[in-house]
Amino acid sequence: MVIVEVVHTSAPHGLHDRHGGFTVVAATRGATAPVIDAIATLSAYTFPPLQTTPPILWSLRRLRAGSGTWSVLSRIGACGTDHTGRRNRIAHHLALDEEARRLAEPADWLAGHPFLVEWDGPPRELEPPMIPGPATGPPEHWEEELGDRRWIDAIGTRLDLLRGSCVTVLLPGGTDPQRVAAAVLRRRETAAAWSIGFSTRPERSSGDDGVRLRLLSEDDVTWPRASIRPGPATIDLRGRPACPEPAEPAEPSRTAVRRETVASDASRPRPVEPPPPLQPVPQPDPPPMVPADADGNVPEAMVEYVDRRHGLRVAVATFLLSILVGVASTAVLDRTGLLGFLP
Amino acid sequence: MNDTATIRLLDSVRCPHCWTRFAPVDARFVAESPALLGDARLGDSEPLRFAPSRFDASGAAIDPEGGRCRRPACPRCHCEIPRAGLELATIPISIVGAPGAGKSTLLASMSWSVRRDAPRLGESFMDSEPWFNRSLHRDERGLFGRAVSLPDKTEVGGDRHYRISVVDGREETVPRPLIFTWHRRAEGRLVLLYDNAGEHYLPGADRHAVAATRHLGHCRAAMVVLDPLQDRRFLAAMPSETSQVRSAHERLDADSRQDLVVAEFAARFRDLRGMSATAVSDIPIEVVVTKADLWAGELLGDDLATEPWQPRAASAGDDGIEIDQRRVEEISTRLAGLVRRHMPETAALLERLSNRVVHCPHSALGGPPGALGEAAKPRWAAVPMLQAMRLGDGAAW
Repeated sequence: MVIVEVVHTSAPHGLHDRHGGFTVVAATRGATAPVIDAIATLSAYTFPPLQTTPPILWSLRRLRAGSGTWSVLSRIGACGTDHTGRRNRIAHHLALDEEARRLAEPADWLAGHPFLVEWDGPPRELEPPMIPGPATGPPEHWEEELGDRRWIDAIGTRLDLLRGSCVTVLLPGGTDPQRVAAAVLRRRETAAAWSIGFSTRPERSSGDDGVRLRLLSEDDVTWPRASIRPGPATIDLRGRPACPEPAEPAEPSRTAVRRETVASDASRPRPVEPPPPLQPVPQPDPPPMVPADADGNVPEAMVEYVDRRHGLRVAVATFLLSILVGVASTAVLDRTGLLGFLP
Repeated sequence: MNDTATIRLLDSVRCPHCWTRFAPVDARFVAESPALLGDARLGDSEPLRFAPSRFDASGAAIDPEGGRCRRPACPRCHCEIPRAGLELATIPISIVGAPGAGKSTLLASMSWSVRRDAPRLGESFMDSEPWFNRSLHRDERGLFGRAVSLPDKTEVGGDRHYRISVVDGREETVPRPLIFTWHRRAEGRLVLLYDNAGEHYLPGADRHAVAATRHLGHCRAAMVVLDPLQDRRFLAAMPSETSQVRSAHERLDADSRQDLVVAEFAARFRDLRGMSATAVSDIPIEVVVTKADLWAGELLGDDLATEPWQPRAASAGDDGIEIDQRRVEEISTRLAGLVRRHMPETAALLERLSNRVVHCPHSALGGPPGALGEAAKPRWAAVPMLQAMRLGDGAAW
C-alpha cells in the first residue's frame, strides 16, 4: 500500500532542487522522483482578476506514473504572494495506489484529510498520512449543499445513465464543490466511488484523467463559459431549479437505499415538472453525433450520409412495393386466366 | 475584386503546436454546432475537429450538423491555428530564462510597445486573432492599464500556456504560442512567441517540460532573458542606491545559477536540432538583459531614456521613423562586453551555440515594479522584439 502526498508551490527552494520557482516543497518520505514529478504536473492554477475571490480547485484524477495507476485527490488554491512578490498558489495532492484505495473512500479523504492552504518554512519530507477511519466522513449537512439533497441523487443517476461520458454540473454561487463532490461519491461503494473522477475545472489534466464529473461553480470566473453547451450531459443548477423526480439508476448503489428513505418522506414536495432531465435522452441519428474517428476524420462523405440513408430507405421501399405489385398482378392474371395469353 | 479570390494558401503549413507539416487541404475545422462537443484528442469540453467535405460560397466549412466553421485546426494534434497560418510564412521565436527572470513581463511590455511603435516604423504588428493572445492581453492590462498588477507566474502546466492532446494513444503536452501578424514591406509574416515557465528550463526538468519546449528545435530566433538581479557578480557591479538593488542583495540566493538554465537550453537546442556537440548554429540568439533602468546609465554609459529611433529618410513631412541601427549595434557591443565580464560562462555557452549572438538591454516598466499603469515608462521595450523578428526573418539588422 502506498500513499504519496505532494505539496507544490512557488518557493525559494524545493525539496530536491535548489532553484526557486514552482517546486515541490514537501513529499512523502520514500516516494520516488518520477512519481512525485508526475503528481506535481497536476498543479496548474489560473488566477482570476485581482478584484475577484480566487477559487479553490478540487479534483480526483487518475494518473499513470511509475508502475501503477494512482488516484490523486487534489486541492489547489491561492496563498498570498511568493518570494518574488507575485501571487502564489499551493497545490496539495494525495495519491493512492490500488491497495490504499480499498482502505477508505474518497469522500472520507475529502472530508477528513487536512489539505494545506499555505506553506511557510523550509522544504521537508512528510510522514505517511493517517488513513481516515469509518467514523470520518462528510458531515450530514454536506448533502444539503445544493439546497435539495435529491440533486445529489440526480447527479448520481445522470452519471449512471451516461456511462463513458462526462457529466458537467453548473453550480450556483455560494456552493462548495468539495461538499457536492463528497456527497455524490459518498453514495457509492468504495471501488465505484474511486472510479468517478471529478474536477472543478472544465479542461482535462491528461489524456486519460478519469474525470467523469465536472463541478463548475458560478463563483469561479476563470472557466470559459462558452465551453459549456446544453445537453444531456450538462445539469445547470445556477438558477437553483426545483429537483425533478429521480429516475432509477442503471444499477443498484447506495443511492437506492437512501432514496427509499427520501421517498417515504410524505412532506417532500412533488415535482411540478415531468422528469425530462433525468430520463435517458433519445439519441439522435448516430452519424452526426459520432461523426469522427479517433483521428478526427469524418467517414467518407459523412455529411451526405443522412441524405444517402434516406435515399436508401426510399429505394428499398420502392423495390419491395414493385415485388408486391408484381406478385399481385401475376395472381390476378392467373385467376382471370389471362396469364395464358402472355408470351 | 472579390476579396476571397486573393487568398493564396501556402503549399505546406507547419503546426505551431506539434510541428507537424501538412497541406492546407488536410486541415481540420473546429465544429461550431453546439451538439458537436467533444473531441477524441482534446477532450470532451472541446468542439469536434472534422475533415470538411462541404463548404459554403465564402469558403467556410460546413460541419455535420450544418454549422459554418471558419477555424482551422491541425490534423494531428487538433489544436486550433489561425487562418492566417494557412497563408503566411511563420517566424517562431523561443523565449528562454530562469524562473523569475521576467519573461512574461518582458513579453507584455514588448508586445504593447511594438504595437504602438510599428506604424511609425512603416510596419504593422497586431494580434493574428485576439483570442489566441488573451493571456497576454491580461498581462498588458496589468502593466499598462487600470488593472495595475504584475503578470502572474507562468504555470508549469494547465491550459493557459499548454494543451494536452492524445495522439496515437500517447499524451503530448503542446505549447500555446502567442500569435501575431507582422506586415513589413508589403509582406506578411506570422510571428509565434513561445513563453514557457522558467521551471521548464531547469536542469533535470521532467519529460512534460521537455515536451513543452520542443519549439527550441524549430525556432528561427531565440531570446535568452537574463536577470542581472539574479547574478551575484552583475549585481555587485550595479549602483546600489535603489531599494530594488538593496533588496535583491538581501534576497539573492547563493545557489541561483542562470548559467545552468542557459546550459540546459543549449543542450536541448542541440539535441532537438540534431546538432553535434561542437557545431555552431546560424539561428540568431538575442540576449536580453532586463531591468536596464537600474544599471544601464552606470554600466553602459547610456540610460536608454531615448528610444533608438531616427527620422525616416523617405518620409519627409510625416513623423515616420526608422531604427537607429548604429546606436543599437553600439549598445549591443557594449552589453556583450558587460555580459562577458560578469557572466563569462553564459557568454561562452551562447557564443559556442550560435554565430549570430546579439545583445539588447530592456526595461519593461522604466522603474520599480510598482510603477504600473500610467507611471510605467518602458525603455527600449520594443527593440528586442523588432530585432528578433528581423533576425528571424533573415534580414540583416
